Amino acid sequence: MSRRPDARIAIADMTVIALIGVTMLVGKTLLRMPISVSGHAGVLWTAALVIGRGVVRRPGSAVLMGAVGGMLIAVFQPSDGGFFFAVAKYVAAGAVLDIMAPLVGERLDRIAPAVVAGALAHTGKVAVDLVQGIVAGVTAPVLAAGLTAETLLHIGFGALGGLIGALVLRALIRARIPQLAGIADPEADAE
Amino acid sequence: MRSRITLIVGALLLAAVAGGAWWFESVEPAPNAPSGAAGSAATTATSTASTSAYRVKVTRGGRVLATFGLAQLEGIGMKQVTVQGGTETGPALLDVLGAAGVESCSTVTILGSGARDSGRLEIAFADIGPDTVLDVAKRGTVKVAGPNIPRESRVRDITEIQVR
Repeated sequence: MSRRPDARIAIADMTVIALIGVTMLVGKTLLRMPISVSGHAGVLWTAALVIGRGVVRRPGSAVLMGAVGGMLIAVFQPSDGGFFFAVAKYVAAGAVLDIMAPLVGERLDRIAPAVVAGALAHTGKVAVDLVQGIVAGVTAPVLAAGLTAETLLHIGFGALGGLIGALVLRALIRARIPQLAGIADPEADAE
Repeated sequence: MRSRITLIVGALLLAAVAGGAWWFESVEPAPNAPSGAAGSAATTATSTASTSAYRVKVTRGGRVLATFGLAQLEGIGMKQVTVQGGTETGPALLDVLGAAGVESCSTVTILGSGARDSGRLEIAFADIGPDTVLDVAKRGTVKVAGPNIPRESRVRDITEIQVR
């Protein structure tokens, strides 16, 4: 007999969601360096999202984390693009992770799924950037300029974030935190 | 098995996204930035054709004082400055404001598309020096650069300059 998952979110999960939102803001702020490399600031927040989705294994939890993180980023690092798009970028990334996680058996502690999920999630932000540009009236040649490099950089930094997330999740599983009690030790788990 | 298929599909999707970006970029070629102190007529013509919809408005209290296309901005007079270790080429912000009829104000707010940065920069008019320029980027839009503007505060793809 299959059990229907509880629609209510436990306080522990809410705490993790809020914590991940704050970590996304901190990660985004810490890595906001003037190095002119598009997408570099996404390494930490993508890692945070992967960790969060790995810990709170509920449908929609990554979207919630993205929404919380996005709202914090929109408030503390406001952009003239507006609140909606500032939040939408992180919600989109969370949505991608929410789609990916069940398809990889909720095993974001594994390197390959986490790397692919992180890369896809970070690329979701580029898609929102494009939509924002279109809405702002930026012309196609302007939108297209440098898009390949930007996309590849976002894929690369997202993959790196996924890798970091998977490694942290493995450490958390080994530390036997209660939320990850149901997941086997990655050391003993064949990839 | 499903996990493995998902990974393969995910990797293919990433390759498709990168390929799509490359295709989009190749069918929508960006204009080249002008070289030297002033853009050549040919470069200007290309820029105007490729980004004909791109405009920068200068406004005061919601009233549009002037609207400049890329060619008009280039026509104001190109200036080459070295700021924060990089060379930036474009019209001086003071000249652009002057061309819009703004001789003096207290604050200037520069707004961009916000797709690649904060999209907003507020600077006091007194802090705008002759080396503050609207650099014409390779993407065919302008960004603000100057000695008093930290690199991380620069606004790209400028759409509006508000004066107060």
